[in-house]
Amino acid sequence: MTRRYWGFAVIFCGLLLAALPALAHHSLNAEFQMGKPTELKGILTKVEWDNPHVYWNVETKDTNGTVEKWSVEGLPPSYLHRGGVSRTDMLALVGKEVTIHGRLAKDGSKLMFGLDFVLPDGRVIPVGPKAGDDSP
Amino acid sequence: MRHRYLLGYLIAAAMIMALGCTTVLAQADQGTKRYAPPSVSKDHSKPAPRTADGHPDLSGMWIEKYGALGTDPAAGKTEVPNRRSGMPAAYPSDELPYQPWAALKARQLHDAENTDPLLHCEPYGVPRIWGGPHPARLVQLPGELIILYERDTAFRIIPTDGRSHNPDADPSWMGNSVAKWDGDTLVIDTIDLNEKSWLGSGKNAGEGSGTFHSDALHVAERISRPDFDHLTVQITDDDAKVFTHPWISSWNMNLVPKEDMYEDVTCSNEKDYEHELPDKPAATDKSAAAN
Repeated sequence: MTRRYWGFAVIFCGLLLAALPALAHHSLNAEFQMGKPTELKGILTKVEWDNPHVYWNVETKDTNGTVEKWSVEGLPPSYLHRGGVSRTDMLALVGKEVTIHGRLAKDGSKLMFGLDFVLPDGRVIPVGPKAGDDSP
Repeated sequence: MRHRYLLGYLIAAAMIMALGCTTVLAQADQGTKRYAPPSVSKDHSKPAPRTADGHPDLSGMWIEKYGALGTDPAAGKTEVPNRRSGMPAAYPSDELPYQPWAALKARQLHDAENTDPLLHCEPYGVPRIWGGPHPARLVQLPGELIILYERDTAFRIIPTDGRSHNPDADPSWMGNSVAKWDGDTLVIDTIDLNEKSWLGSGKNAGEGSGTFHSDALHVAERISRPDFDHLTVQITDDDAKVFTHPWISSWNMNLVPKEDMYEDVTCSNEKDYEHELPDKPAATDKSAAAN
């Protein structure tokens, strides 16, 4: 892909991101670096299926073998349920390796807002608000 | 004879192919789940039901819209343009008819980011409780309307028997409501709202938009059922202390009789507040901030 097409791709992704909605009760921009897509790969250790946001605990390991504990914030349980993702689905992933795409917290803490899960078999589970949907 | 064998081979081959296809489809099903919210009716032909007294029956489970799930549109990228790398180009509160000092204060509340009452575990209140991806269950009984909101796990019991406002009502988040019929539209009149809640940015009230109001807020909710599957809600917020004129917003809701209601308590596991970082305030007029 030429540099020109990469430029279009980046602008396109930016426009899609601009359409990401507010969370249930606060702004994504107030808490997360929305301009920096991030990938987190590790073992899902716990699911906190609760209000106002679901949280997933993930343990990652760097090249030196150092383990880091991350927290991934998601949408409210009602929103996930109605979109087709249940607590049962998520609990089934505990103990398994997952790759999560999202945005890091602005304050430098080990917190990320999760947009999708990629499983080792290639399946993708959407957990973020659909771009352009401003409903939460 | 040869044709007979050929026919047999063809039938056998077709059966094997069908079995194979079924197996492949079944495997695909196991690995593919449809992540989509339920659909809503677009049929506007069925008339609204009516109660014994002749009024439209507003009862039912209603939702303005479902939220849909999506994947990361920028997965694999390292950086993308951020819509708010600087100050916001427009504030949600700018759509409201605030007096100049109040418009400035609303912008400042928005910029501070962590000023939203919800982040402090406080209720939505009227009218912010309405709208968005949370259903509301209306139960119309003789002499009263009960509204059960999924959002905030809240409820209202509104007299429709012709009584006046309780003159001794305390200020509250949901206010002091009575309702009466104006033709086929039920008009809920609400006063005695405290000044702690925000109005939200119209029908989708989630964003921390700084839409504050005063204790003079007077809310009129006009609810009608134009057809069997749809409800129309129009809200007029009148607040002479902060507005130049009343602010009107309206939206439609869809009948979703099979929808479940989920618990939506505001602060069961609230962790956002400690991570919210205020933006630098854009508005610095001290006289406005003092109001």
